[in-house]
Amino acid sequence: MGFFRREHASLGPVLALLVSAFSLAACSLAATHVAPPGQPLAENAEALRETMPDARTIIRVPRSADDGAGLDLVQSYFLMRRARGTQEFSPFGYEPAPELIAHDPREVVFVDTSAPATAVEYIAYAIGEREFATLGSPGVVVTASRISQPHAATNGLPMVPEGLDVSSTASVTVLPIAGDDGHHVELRFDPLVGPGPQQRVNRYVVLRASNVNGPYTPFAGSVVDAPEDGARPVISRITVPDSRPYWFRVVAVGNDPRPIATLPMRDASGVVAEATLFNAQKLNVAIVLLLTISLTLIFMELAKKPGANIFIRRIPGIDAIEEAVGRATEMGRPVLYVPGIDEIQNIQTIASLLILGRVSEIVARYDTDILVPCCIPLVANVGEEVVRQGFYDAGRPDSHKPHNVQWISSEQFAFCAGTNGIMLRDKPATNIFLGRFFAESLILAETGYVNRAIQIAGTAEISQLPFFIAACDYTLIGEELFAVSAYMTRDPRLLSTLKAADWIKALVIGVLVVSAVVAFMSPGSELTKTILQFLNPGE
Amino acid sequence: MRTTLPLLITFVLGVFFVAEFFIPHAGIHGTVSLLQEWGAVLAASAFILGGVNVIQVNIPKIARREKDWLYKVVLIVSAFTMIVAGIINREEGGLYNYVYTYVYTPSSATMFALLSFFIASAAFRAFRARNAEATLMLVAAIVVMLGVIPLGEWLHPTFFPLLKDWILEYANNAGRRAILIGAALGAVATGLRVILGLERSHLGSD
Repeated sequence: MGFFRREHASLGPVLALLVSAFSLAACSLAATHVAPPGQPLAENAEALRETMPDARTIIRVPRSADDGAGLDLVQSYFLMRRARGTQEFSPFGYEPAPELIAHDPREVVFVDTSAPATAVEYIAYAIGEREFATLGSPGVVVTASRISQPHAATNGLPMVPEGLDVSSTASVTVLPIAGDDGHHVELRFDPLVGPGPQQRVNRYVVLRASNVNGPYTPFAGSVVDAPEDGARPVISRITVPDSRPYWFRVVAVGNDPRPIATLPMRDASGVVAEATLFNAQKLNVAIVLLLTISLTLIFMELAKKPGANIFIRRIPGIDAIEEAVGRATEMGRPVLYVPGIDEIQNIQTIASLLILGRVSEIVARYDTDILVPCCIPLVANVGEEVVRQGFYDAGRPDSHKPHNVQWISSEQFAFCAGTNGIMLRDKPATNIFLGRFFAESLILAETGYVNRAIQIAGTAEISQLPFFIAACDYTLIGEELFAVSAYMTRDPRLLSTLKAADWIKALVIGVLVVSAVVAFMSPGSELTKTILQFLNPGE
Repeated sequence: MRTTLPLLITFVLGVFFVAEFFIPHAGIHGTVSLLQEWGAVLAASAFILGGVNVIQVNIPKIARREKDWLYKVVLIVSAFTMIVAGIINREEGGLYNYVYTYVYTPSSATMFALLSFFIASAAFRAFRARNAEATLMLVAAIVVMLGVIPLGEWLHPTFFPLLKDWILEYANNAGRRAILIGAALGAVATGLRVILGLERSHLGSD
């Protein structure tokens, strides 16, 4: 039983530290075994093919043995073919669609229904995306699996794509994207309309090459569905591995096993993705942020002057916290503090933990108990340190009871049930719910109401605010949650940030009013367009 | 040192992540991905601390036969059983999946279902016309309710649905957006306080 005593509490952090170090090392080692994007993982994988009596060809491709070797996971497989003796592999229509049609853990099965007349060769690609990679970063893994003996069919449709009568102007425009990270280009082309139902274009397969002469290969996101109406240009954001020139071509595929048409790239010199150092579309956010920082620094300087007084309006919900703690002390019951159920990196959880420090200090001064049930283990660990610091700041470190900060469960309703159990068993006189809450908010608040506790809640989660307002005595709405910590300390430096935010809010209101008036007076004017472009550059 | 180093790390990483928001360059994204991987690993490792916390909170209470100690026995036994079952077999049809599907999921659904009763009791209290604001809210709530139930359409086919849409689209949306803007600026202010080291209570004891 010695392990369970508090003096051995340090074993937990040591254990966690060791596991963290081991996990990080394992991640680093695994990362070194991942093949670079675009490189074959299993060059010599053999594929089998069977010709069925109805002239269909079944192609069985062994699944890549490297599927789970590192952090790369193969997400899909793609098959292309070429007539024997020709250079280029080309996508072709499948019936059924070219997704996995068998969930055999050992192989992927494709069916070619076209029964080509000439000998054909197939190539299969395993396409994956690197796990944990940021969205849009290159993570394409290409695995070549060639058939050793090309198959010669005896009947059926010819293999060589006949295609539509595509006019000479039909091509693909590929351009770098402004404000990009250097791994994307924008691909734009007019959709094709086939002459009959058999040649209706279902999807477009985008192929990429690092050389103008190929080979052109598929990649993650290669398949672009044809637009329903067929009238608008098809625009697709395409990932490229690096900032070297790349060439693209688009193959239109329909129900017919043969490719309907191939669209070449308009610019034969290729396209290079451009990495920029500042995203101009976020200029408005940058201006607001710089203004906030500048105003904060100005107000901090003003606060240093003797006699300076930063006025912050009274917030009854915050004023009630000390009163509620006093009530709990008089009744000889604990205070319950729930810091929300979100992860520690959420700003509402961070704000709640900052407030927890102030509340702990008050609780310690009143010499009462504070119970902190947590949904996330990391929040529980930080919360314990915060409460400990609060008791230390109040000059009562010995009164701190570490087991009062406990992790209940990471499951939403299991946590809710556990916290309700604490409320009903320990009967806290004061419940404080500050942080990010979801559906459990009303269950917690109503249980506290039934328990006749004073309840103070605060969240920036708009959908939960009505529940707290209905069931709690005081509710801190949105920005008030973020003001609590500064409000409680009355530290001029902290109040400066509130003051700066208030000024920015006034500025935002002004911009909204002016924009609304301008848009109302002259809806289509250049000024209106400029304002809208600045406020919402993505549109 | 114990305060200065965390403050320095917070400042450097805070500024880095703010800059990353504006800099789309892939080099920055690579570093962010790496840091996020570290964060995910550390967060996962915190479950060990959580497990230790559960044991340290509950076992002594069982040993001392404190009030409701039997509940804690159930907790520890359940947790231990699920850990062992999860390690041995997480396949379909195994004990772990069986308990999750047939014990946890219905229990969780039951907790969620309780919400409807809590909504009814909370709405009853909230909609009492104690003053002008509460009366306004009561009237708005009745209109919105009539706008979505068949009775409202029966009373008048278009009036209540249109009025409901107007209340939700304009009055309600205006309030929601005001709260959102305020909360976003509050979040920026809180972030600044932490990055600049003005807030320190989260750094723990010296």
